[in-house]
Amino acid sequence: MKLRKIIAMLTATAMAAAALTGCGGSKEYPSQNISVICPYSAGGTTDLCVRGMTESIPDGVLPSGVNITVNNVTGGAGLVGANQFRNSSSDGYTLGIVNCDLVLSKVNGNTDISYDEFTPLACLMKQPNLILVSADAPYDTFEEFVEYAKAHPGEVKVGNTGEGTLTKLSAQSFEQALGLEFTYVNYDGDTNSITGVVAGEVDMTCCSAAPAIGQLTAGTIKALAITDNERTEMFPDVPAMGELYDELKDIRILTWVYLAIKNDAPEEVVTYLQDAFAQASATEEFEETLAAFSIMPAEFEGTDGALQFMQEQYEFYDSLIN
Amino acid sequence: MMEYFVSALTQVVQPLNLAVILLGTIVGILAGAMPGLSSIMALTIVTPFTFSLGGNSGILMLLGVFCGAIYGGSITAILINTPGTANSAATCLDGYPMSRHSPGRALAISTMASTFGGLFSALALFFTAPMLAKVALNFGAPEYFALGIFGLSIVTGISSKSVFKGIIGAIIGLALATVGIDVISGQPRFAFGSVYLMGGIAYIPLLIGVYAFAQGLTLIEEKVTEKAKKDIKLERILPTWADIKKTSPTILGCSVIGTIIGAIPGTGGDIASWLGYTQAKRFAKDSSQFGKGDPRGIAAPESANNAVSGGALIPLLTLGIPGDAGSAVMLGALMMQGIIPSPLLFENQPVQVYIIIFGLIAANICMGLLGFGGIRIFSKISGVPKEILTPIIFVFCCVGTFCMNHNVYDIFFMLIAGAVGYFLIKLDFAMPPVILGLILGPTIEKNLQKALVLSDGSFSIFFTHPISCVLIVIAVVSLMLPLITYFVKKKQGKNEEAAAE
Repeated sequence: MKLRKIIAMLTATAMAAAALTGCGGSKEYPSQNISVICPYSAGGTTDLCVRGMTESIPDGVLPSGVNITVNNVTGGAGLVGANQFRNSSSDGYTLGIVNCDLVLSKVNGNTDISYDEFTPLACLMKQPNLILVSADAPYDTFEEFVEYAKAHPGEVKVGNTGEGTLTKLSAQSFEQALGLEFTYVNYDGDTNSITGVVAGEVDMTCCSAAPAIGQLTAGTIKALAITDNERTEMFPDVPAMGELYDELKDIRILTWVYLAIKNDAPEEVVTYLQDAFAQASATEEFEETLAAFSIMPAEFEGTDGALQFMQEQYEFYDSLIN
Repeated sequence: MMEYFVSALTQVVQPLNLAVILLGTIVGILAGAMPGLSSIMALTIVTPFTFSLGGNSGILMLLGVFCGAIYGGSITAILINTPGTANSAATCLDGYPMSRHSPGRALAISTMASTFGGLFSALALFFTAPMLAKVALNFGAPEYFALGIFGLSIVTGISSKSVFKGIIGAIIGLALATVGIDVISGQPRFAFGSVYLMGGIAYIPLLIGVYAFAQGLTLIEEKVTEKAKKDIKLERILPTWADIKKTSPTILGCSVIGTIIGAIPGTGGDIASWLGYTQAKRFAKDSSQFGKGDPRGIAAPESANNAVSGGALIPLLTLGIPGDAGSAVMLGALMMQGIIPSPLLFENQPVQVYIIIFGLIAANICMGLLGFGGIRIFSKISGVPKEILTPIIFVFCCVGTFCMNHNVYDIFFMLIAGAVGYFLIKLDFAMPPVILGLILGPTIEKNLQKALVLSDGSFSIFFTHPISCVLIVIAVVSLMLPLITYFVKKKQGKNEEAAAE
């Protein structure tokens, strides 16, 4: 019995010692595993992009024995994970996600977490939505569609994924600016909404390229415009709605996701991680991951540039919704 | 056509590929059998591994996991009344009572039904996918609403003793389904300022709570009154001829139901298994043994939920719409392997499609072999003394719940759900109606709103669409049936009395 007690005590001491060494702050960063809180479920687009990014960090960049792991904390439409990220330690070993949905949740009053509580580290994606209609619709261009909508106020049915979501805001932005009147129909997801367009249940929907690409190549739907003021490389033939109408030239509805860290993290940690992720973004491996989801590589504008972009987005949505 | 066929077949039957299918199926069965460890998690864990396997082997491994997990959930549902996944909740109804005296027979029936359902749906995918893809497009808001109502009408079939308590249970489920951010208005409902509740009631913690945790509490209580069982003699591992004969019509019918439910975008194995169960009960000549260990009560939900696997691939591959969270992960993984869901997939990537179909067939065969081979090992679980089994169940409840989302609130919620569930069960409330209400609530509500927006507020939309009209009429008739038969019998009785006079 005595022997057992001694062994137990020794083990406990050893474990405590091991735990203490792990916490030692004097060591060079990074000395232990880094975790990324992904507020969406594993296997989703955001999750797979985060994993694509962390797995693309070239060998030798991270010290041996240090891994970046993804921790999926889901629930509350992404807010549970965001909350946990906000309450995590700023020691540089917990990263998280700042995205358009977080900004929208703030604008919609569902959270008080602000984008500027975090320092952006890398841009995972940034792309406009496509304005999609059925292939056999009586209009072929965005202008014709707008004329049609003007002639039929309240009759154009628009598929969307709920109040305050990007799909709905995409349509609302030009509905307001051009004085149109749509009827909104809710769907569970972007793909369901596109299927609604294909089946003729609704006339139009706005969403990003990934869920639309299958039906676009099949020729069952057509893209009239993108919700940005400049064309993109991926769809060079699809006009930007900002170039067609002066009223729309300041509207940029984009799906964007940044990897971020709490803004009180040490400066050298931020530089280290930004550099590591910059190397990962440049790899072919990461580009392939993005290409599988029809996502274009997006450039990271640096800390200030990214924060300014987020501020612009916040102010724009605030003016649109409130 | 033929060349694609041969090229796909030769790829699937390569030894390495058969080995990864087998491995995937084992992982799937194990994950499915653990309450809380779902196909979602198994697929996520396996996905990075599949990349190092190279294209098609990766897809095949994922298919193995996908099929195995659906089957695996039934093992614990039968043996300890704790569904491993939502798909197997209906299997508890008859599986557990039967396993109390003959666990081997229950597992054998479930394995047989699962394998047949899976193979049936793989063949359905092969022959009818383009056709079913078109049916899927005909499924609009009114049809979904009608399907939901039809699903709810079966509540009388699954409420154990009192139909009224069953209906109250379904209403509790429907009420729980309203918690969270309302899609139309964007307003939080019944969230009480909690971020956790804003995303809606977490379904899996609730399920683990009311089934596994409440079951654990019941086991504690039994221990006082009833002595732990001695080992049960394993009577057999293959189904008897009599069982095959009795269950085969059920299995066939439920495989069809499962495939169709799978093919409808956005509906999954959970709904299919309940529909399968109640339809089997409705069409049975003698349904008195249902709920007490009727072999058809095991065969029905198991063949239906495994038949979903093939059916679900139809909207997944042609429209990119997953039926449940598990197939959503599957979708992401398949896209990473270079498959782009599109109505033209069957024309653009025919070899890939045939590989998926053959892979599905191979995975189901592996599942059957592993299932029958493993019965001897699995059924040992029911021989484990309660004082050991009960703490293990509690541990798994907490670990499994936490693993889902890495969210500690899920554990609190699971504990509350378990405690409430326990008292409801004590008060003779059956849990299936609650679960059914929770599953169907969002479908019904969202599509009611959507259909009314589409029709500009007119209810006629539900009756002008043929599919929705038929479903609603069947639902109403089946709800009224007990009343109608009651009055018919009463009248007959009077007539006979009159004749006697």
